[in-house]
Amino acid sequence: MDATTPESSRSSLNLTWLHPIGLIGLSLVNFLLKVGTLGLYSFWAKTEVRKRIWSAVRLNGEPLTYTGTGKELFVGFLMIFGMVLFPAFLLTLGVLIMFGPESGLSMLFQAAIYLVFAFLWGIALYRAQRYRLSRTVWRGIRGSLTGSDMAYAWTFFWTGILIPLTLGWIIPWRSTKLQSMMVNDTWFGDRPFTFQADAKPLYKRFAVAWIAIAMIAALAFVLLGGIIGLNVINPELEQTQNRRLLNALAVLFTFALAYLLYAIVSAWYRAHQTNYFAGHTHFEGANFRGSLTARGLIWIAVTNFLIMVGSVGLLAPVVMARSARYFVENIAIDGTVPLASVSQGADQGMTRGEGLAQAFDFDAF
Amino acid sequence: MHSDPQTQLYFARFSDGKSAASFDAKVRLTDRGVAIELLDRHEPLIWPYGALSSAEPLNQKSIDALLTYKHQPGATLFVADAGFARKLAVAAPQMSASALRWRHATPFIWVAAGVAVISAVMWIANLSPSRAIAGLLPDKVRIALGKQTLESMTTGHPVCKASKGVAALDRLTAKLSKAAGGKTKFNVVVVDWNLVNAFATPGEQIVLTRGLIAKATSSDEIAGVLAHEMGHGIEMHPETNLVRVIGLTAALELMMGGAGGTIGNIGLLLAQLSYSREAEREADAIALALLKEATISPKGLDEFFDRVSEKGRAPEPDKPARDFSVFSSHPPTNERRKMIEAQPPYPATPALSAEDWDALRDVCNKPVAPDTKQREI
Repeated sequence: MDATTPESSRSSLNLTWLHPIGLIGLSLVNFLLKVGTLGLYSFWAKTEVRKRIWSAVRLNGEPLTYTGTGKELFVGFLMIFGMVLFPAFLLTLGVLIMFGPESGLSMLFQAAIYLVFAFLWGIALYRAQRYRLSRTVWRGIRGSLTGSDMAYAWTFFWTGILIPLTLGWIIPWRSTKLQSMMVNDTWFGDRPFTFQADAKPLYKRFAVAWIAIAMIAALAFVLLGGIIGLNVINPELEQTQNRRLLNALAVLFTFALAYLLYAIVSAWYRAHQTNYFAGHTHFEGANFRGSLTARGLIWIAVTNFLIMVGSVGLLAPVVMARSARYFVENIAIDGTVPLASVSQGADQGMTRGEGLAQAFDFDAF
Repeated sequence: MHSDPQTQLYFARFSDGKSAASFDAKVRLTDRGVAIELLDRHEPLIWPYGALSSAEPLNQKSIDALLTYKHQPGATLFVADAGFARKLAVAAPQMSASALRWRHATPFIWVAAGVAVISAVMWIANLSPSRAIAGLLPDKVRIALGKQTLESMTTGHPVCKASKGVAALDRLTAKLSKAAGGKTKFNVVVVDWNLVNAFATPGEQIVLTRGLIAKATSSDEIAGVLAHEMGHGIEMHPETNLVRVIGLTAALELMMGGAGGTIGNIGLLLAQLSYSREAEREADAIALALLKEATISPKGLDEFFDRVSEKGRAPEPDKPARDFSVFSSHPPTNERRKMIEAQPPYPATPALSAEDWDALRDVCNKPVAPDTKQREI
C-alpha cells in the first residue's frame, strides 16, 4: 500500500473508547491544587480532565483533542460574574432593602430576574456547546456551531414555559426541536451535520412513561396520605420519640421509592429518545446509530451516584469519564465519509470561554 | 541522513491539517527533535521538542502521544506507542503533566498567599474594610436596611405601645443619647415577645423584648442592656456585619465558580447578625462610658448578662445557654466584670424613677411574670 496517498476516497468511521488511566490520581492532585489556590485552579483542573476524556474517544484509533484552556474558562467566568451575576445580586439586594421582601414590587422584580435567567440559560447551553465544539479537534480539523444563540434560547425559553402548561406533553416535541437546532448548526471542518426527525414516533413511549409517572405520583400520594392518616387516627402515638423516627423514615422511604421508580421510567424513555436522535443524525452520508438501554443508563447513574457520595465528590472526573464511556460505547457510525475532502472551515474559532454555562453550573455530560 | 540511525523507529499517523485524511509515517526521537519520515518526502520533517504540544499532558503512564507543532498549525502526529510517549515526556518536559499543573497553579498559589498575608495584616492592624464600606452607606440605605432586618426578625411580634411605658422608655433613651453626645438619633422599641432578647439593627434602631424587661430586676439593668446595644449602633456593627456577609458571600461564590448558590439568599444575610468578641468588647466600653455620663450604675449591665447567661448554662464556662442566642458571643462575664471594676466608682442615680420603671414593665399591657416557656429564634 502506498502510504503517502490518503486513505481510500471514502472511509468508514470506527468510534471507540480507550479508558483513561490515572484519573483517580488526577482527581486527588486537582483537589489539592484547588484547595491551595482558593478554588481558582478549578478551571485548569476541569480543562485537564476534559483533555483526558476527549483523548479517550478514538475515531479510527486516533484520539479527539480538547484544545480549550483553563484561562479561557476563567476569563469567561469572570466576565459572567462581573457583568451578570454580581450586578444582578446587588440589584436584587437593593430592591429587597429599599422596598422590603414582602412588597409587590420586590416580588415582581424577582419574578423578572427568574425569567431573564431562564432565557440566559438557553444562551448558556448553546454557547457552552459552541465553545466545546470549537475546542474539539480530530486530525487537525475543528468542530463548530454556527447558528444563533438567541434563536435557540428563545425556543428553549417559550417551550420551557409550556412544559407545566401542557403537563409535560410538549417534552418530546421540545427535545426534538432543540436537538434539531443544535445538530443542524454543528459542523466538522467545512461539512455540516444534519438532523431530520419528527417527534411523533416518540409519543408512544412518552405516553407510557407519562402514565407510569402519574401512577408513581399517585402511589406516593397514597402512601404519604396513609402515614399522615395513621397519625391523625392515633394522635397519642405521635408523642413518642420512636414514633417520630418511624414517621420520618416512612416519609423518606416513600420519596426514595418514588424517585427510584421515576428514574427507571425516565431512563427507559431517555434511552429510546437518544437512540432515536442518533438514528436521525447524519454526516456526509454516514449515519449514527445508538444502542443505549434503560438498564445501562440506570446502572451508570446508580454507580456514579455511589462513587460521588462515597468520595464526597472528589472523584467527579471518574464519574464524567464513566458517563462519556457509556455514551461513546453505545454510539456507532454506519456508512462511509470522504475524509480527504473534509477541510477546515473558514471560521477562526472563538476566543471566549463558556462563562455563562460555567456560572450556571452546567457541564458537559 | 538521519541524525542518529541507532534510535528506535515508531509507526505513526500524520495529518497535515488540510483535510481529515491521515497518512502513515515513521518517527524517531532524535537529538534535534521528533523526526517524521513521510513516503512522499525525501527529507524527514523535524519537529523540535521545545515547540511541541501534546493533546493531553504526558507522563510515565502515557500509552500514546498526539502532538502538534507550533510552526505547522493544524498538523498532528499520533504515535500509539507507550515507549515513545514516555521517552518524549523526558525529552520535552514542558509537556509533562506536573509541569503544566505547576505552570497554571503557581500564579494562584501566589494569589492565595497574598490574600492570606493581607488578611493577617488587616487582622493585626485591626483594619476592617467592611466597617469602612459600612461608614460610606447613606443614612437612607442604613435606615431601610434596619427596617427590613427589624421586620424579618420580629415577624408576629407587635410593637408594645402602652403610652406611659413608651414615654418611660423614651426618657431612658434620651438620657443615654444625651450621654452619647446627642448626635445619633436612636429609635428604641419593645416588642411583645417572650424570648429574652435585645438587638441593634442598622440605622440606629434597637429592639428590646418583653421577655427581657420581665427578666430585669431593675431599670439599671435595662439601661445597661440599652447602652450596650447603643454601643453596637454607634460603632455601626450591624451595618459592618451585613457588608461583611455580603462581601464574603460574593467571594465564596467567586471561589466556588458560581456553584455555591448562596447569592441572592437575602434572608440568610439578614439572619447572620451575631457579633465578634471584639465588637462586644467595644460595645461594652461604650456602654460603660454612656452609663457613667448618664450617672447610671454599671452594675446593672454586669448583673443582667450574668444572670441571663447562667440559666441553663452548658458545662463549658464560655458557652452560654442556647436560649439566649443573641448573647452567645458576648465576652465572658468575668472579662466584663474586670472592665467595670477597673472603673473608679462614681455617684449614681437609678436609671428610671420607680413610677417610670413600673410603666416600662407594663408597656405591653401584660403581666410581668416571665413566661416559663422560652421560645427560640
